[in-house]
Amino acid sequence: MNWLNPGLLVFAVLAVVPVILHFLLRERVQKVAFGAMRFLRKQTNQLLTRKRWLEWLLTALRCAAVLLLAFAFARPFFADREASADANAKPITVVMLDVSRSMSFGSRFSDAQKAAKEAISAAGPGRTLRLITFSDTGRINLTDVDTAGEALAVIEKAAPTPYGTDLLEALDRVFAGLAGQAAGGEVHLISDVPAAALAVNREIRPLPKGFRLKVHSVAGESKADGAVVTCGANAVEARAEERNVQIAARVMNYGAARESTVKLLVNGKEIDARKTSLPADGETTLTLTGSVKEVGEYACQVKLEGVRPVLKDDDVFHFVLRVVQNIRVAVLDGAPSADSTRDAAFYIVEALNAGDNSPYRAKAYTTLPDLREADVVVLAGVGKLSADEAKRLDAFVKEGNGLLVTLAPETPIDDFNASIGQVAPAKLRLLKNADETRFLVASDLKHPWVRGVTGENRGDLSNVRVRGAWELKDSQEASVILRFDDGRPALIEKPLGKGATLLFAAPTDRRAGDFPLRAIYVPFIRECLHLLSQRAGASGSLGLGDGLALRPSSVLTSPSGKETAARGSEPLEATLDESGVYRMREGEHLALYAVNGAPGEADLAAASADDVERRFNPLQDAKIRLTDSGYERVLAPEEKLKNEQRANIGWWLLAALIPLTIGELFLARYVGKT
Amino acid sequence: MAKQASSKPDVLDTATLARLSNLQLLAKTVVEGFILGLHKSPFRGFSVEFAEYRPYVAGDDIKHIDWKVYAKSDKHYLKLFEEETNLASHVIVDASASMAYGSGELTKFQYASRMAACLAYFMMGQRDATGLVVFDTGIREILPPRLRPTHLQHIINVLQNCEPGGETDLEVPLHAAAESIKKRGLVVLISDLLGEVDALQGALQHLKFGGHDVIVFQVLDPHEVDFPFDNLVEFTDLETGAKLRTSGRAAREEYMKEFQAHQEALRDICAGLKIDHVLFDTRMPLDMALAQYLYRRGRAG
Repeated sequence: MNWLNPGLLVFAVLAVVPVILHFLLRERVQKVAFGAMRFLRKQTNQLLTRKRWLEWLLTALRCAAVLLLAFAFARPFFADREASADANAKPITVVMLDVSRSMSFGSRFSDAQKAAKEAISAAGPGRTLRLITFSDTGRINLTDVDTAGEALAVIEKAAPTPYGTDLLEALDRVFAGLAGQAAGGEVHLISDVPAAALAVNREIRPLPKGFRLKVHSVAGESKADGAVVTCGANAVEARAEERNVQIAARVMNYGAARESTVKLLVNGKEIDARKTSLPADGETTLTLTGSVKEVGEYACQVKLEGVRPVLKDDDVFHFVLRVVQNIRVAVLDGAPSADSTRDAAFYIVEALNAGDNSPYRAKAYTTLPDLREADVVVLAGVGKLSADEAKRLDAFVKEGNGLLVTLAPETPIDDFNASIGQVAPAKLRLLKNADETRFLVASDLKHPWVRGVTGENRGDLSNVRVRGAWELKDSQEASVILRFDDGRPALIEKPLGKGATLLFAAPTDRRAGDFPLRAIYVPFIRECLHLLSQRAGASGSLGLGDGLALRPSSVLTSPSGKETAARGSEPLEATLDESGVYRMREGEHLALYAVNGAPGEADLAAASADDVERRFNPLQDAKIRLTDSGYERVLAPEEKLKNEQRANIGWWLLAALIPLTIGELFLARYVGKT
Repeated sequence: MAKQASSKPDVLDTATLARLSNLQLLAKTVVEGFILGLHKSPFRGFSVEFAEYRPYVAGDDIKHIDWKVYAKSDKHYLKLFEEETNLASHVIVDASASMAYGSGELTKFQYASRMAACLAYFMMGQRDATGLVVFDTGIREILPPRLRPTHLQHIINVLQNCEPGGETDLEVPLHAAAESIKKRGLVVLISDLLGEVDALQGALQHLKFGGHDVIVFQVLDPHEVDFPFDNLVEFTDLETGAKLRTSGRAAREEYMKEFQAHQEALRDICAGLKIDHVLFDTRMPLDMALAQYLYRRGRAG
């Protein structure tokens, strides 16, 4: 505890005044030779002893009151724990060296090494050194170095990596590691401080007290001169019947306007090339087309020619083209029946296969088939799965496929929740008012599913009537696409692993009313499948440094030909550290995965070092304002509150005087009576 | 009558009494001062020994008119006689140690002695034979009732030479006194009565059984009546020497409760035995005791 006015503590010696007064004004014992002692026979000497104790207690209360007053006016406050900790601890110097891909630009990394060495040298011998190299999430490496020489050696060996930058994560981890370090010190951030890395809307913990953040920006004055090409996704799906494969490419140009050629290569063979004019410090998009009719997966590239890349490999974007015949839908019939009015699978299969040009190829099953033959599974009124089936279905979805679940009035709640509930977006609570007819209402009009169903020449949701609506539970992680007219969720969606699941909380057969006979039924079901198959296609998006799980007994071949094999039944996760197309072979099955570097690294725009220091250093929110009495610092709300709390201790002491005084008065009155 | 007595000249106040150490002089001063304030003496009565004549005034009993004088002088005169009684009075004085307490100028015993001397002087002035008993745990001194002029001096000598001491025992000495007083008469008990009430009841019954008319003058110190102690007090029992340290404020309530109960019991006992019980504190004038005596003497005569 510290004191704002320690001089006033002198008045604490006045606490002896009550003791002195106690002795001076103590009642003397009057000696009386008395005749009528018979009337005092009930009195005892204990009374006097008790009175003496009470007098001492009263004196103690008065001393405490004087002490409290002295302490209150001395304005006590509690010092920070960090500040009061061991003063002998060594100050810490932390050097954070950015090794992200953008640091490979120009002389940034050599400048960074130089700045790091200077920071180490300036730290001096009396400090604890910590050296941290970082790039993106998960690549933050702490190196404990005992001497400056070791630190300099580590810095000398460091090199830029192909990974992106997660500056906030790195700062958060470093700040976490420094929490509770009483000695304080400095954190040197040596980076090109990419503006994009700081623009992320994310709160991190504050820099611990006693530490200062010094930012050494190595972005320099040199501007990027080159272009970067990217596409929307690493994997593109196309159906064999469509003659043209359309790829949208985005080219970002840094520097003067120039002419360039963008080429589309499939399995190394150029199938399209477009010349384009790149605006100065701007971007342009163009569409490349090609014709690939054979079903299969192709390693493709969009390549930029006629202009140099900003960073290495920025002129090539890799992606995988999957040409599929149809979207394969396995409809598992929960209650096969000869009566088509009671067979939900019947209507779903008919809705999906209707028309010669249907992109879907649906087939009904009574047991769960080999899921390698399906892209999407529909559980039509299925109430229960075996443990093995549930496990296979779970893995199927997590690998990036889709699952649609529809219910039936007789669906058993407990069996469904136990076997399908883990995969489905929600569990079942109860079937409420089974005979009541419900409308369907769109919950999110901008949702792709809603737009797909209710678009022009599609259908009108207000015509739909269903009966047998289920009440769901544990649907917190799911998003609601449709609701019943009483507000309960009707169609909900939930991502699971790399795939997605949908649940429609009502039957899809005739027991639901005339819904299967309505015109909107076909787009309703097809849009569900479209949504699920799209999600599956998007799952192939991989970046440099991502991990890829290898299936048992599969072999992964990198773009440079390096092979990684998953032996036995144990899965293995491989790190994708090359840009290009990886090939994973599992028996006869071959899957391609395109890997690209973080395109954001090519954005060399840097933030101001001063801005970064102001943002993270303590008192970051302090501002200076001009008042009549001069400049005054405006404290951050937290600091202001803390200061007020500190100042309030004195008021608490004064407040404690109130009960103390009341107690003293009562006791004095009582002692006076005795 | 008490009111009348209390308005007597200052010579009867306790300060004056305290200064008069000669009991005989004190008794003479008190009694004569007391008599001066009285109206016609009711004790110049109509006995057998002629005293004087006085003119008849309206209201006098005509049976006392001397008709022979009327026949000779044609005036109505009453024939007055000097009253002559054979009333034996006994003054019993408590000389126990508790009587030695006094918060003011007089201890209870000094006050009681002065009261006894005054009574004796006055009684003998009324030509009553007066005796004295002094007791503590037993009878310490006893003077049988006499009417000789020198007897008063004996009584005063005994009172002057007596010092309080010993524990209060009202039972044994009063029973002994009751046994020793053969002739019926007036018994005046002067004591603080700080003893067992039951024992006192038995003793007083004994005296009443002997045919005596009994007056009890209870003498207490003002501090015993009011208990004005506020601070820490170490009380020492005058009779046993036992010590008690306590707070006066804290003890007062209990003391007063016990004291009132004791007084109540005394009053009940006296009322039951038709005994006059008069409480004196040592600040009160002594003529009140004389007035009380006269009142009772009148009834007895």
